[in-house]
Amino acid sequence: MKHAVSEKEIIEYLRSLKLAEGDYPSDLFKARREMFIRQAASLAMTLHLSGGNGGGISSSSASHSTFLPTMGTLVEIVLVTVIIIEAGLTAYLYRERIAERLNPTASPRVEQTIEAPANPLLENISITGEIPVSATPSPASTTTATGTLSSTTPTAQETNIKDTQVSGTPTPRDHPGLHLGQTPKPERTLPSDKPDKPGDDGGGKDREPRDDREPKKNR
Amino acid sequence: MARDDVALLKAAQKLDEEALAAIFDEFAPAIYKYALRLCHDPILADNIVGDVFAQLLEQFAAGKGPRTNLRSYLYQTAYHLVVDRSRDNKHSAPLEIAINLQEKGQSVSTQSQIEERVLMEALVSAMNSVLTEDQRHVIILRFLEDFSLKETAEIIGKDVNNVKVIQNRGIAKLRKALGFQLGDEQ
Repeated sequence: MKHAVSEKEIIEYLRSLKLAEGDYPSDLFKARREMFIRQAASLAMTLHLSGGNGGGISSSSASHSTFLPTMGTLVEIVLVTVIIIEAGLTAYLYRERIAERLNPTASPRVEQTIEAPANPLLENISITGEIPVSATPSPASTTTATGTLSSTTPTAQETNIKDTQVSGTPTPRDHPGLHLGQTPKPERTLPSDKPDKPGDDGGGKDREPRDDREPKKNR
Repeated sequence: MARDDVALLKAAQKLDEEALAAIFDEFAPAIYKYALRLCHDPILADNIVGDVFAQLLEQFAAGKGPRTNLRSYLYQTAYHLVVDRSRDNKHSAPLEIAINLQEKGQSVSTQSQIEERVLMEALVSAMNSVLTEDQRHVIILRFLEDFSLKETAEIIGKDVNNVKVIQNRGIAKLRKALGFQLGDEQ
């Protein structure tokens, strides 16, 4: 059998339910109350120290408290930027010293002396020069030697070379691949007025002199 | 809100210790009961009371907090804390209310008292088992804490009409559950 419960009855039962409940245990309540009072006192003290107006918090101070973190962030950003700029500037100004410190073996200060060679042929050759050592602390230092080389005794090689004519390679023309019209024309030799010597065979074996020809008969 | 309450609230906003203590004495037991009804754990209910009043202090210190309805504000805070914790810890709740009922019953001699006790136990059981979370909140706030529809809507953050619908559905469910339970027993 089903027991019908009306809506009103349910509400009445619910209302009567609130009377039959456990109270706040006294020990828990006391402990919680003391803690709450202590919290309130410390908070009030903190606000007094930070310049609150008698414990009350106005809306202006609330907005001030939200304003402070923003200002703090801005100041922090500005400080970091200034520090970075200053560090960069210092590094630029003292870059040489920094490089020296970082890599002390890069720029040695060495005086370079060149000894004369033991070759007897080169005994009389004197080398005078300066070897400046660049002070730049680059890892690959460049050494430039400038000097004059003077020789007093002519060598045998020089004399031998004097008699020898060496034809050098012709200078290339403007058009290295096109040689048309560039062939030198053969020079025409004019016939000499003197008659060839009778005993002179040189060069005219097959050819008879014009004067020795038989005169043509006139018809 | 009475004029005394307004004065008390203004003093509490200035972190006046006496005013804050008076507020705690007035509202802490009710908040504890409300939390106990929802979470069924005395220690957890006590922690919720502590958190509710700590949040109140923080709000006052920041220049915020309630301006008029302090009671509604405290229940709202407690409601959110209970909901958050119930999401973390979903366990079947014991029926402390029914136990308390049994302890409080002086002499269960008469027939009507026995019937009433059986009905109450069935009601508590139905509230814990058949109602949804929203329905349980609305029923407790409306009929055990005596909040109006508007206040209940403010506390749980819903529309008044929505609260009405939730309430009616909850009562209908309880009626049905109680009818079945009583019918089974008889």
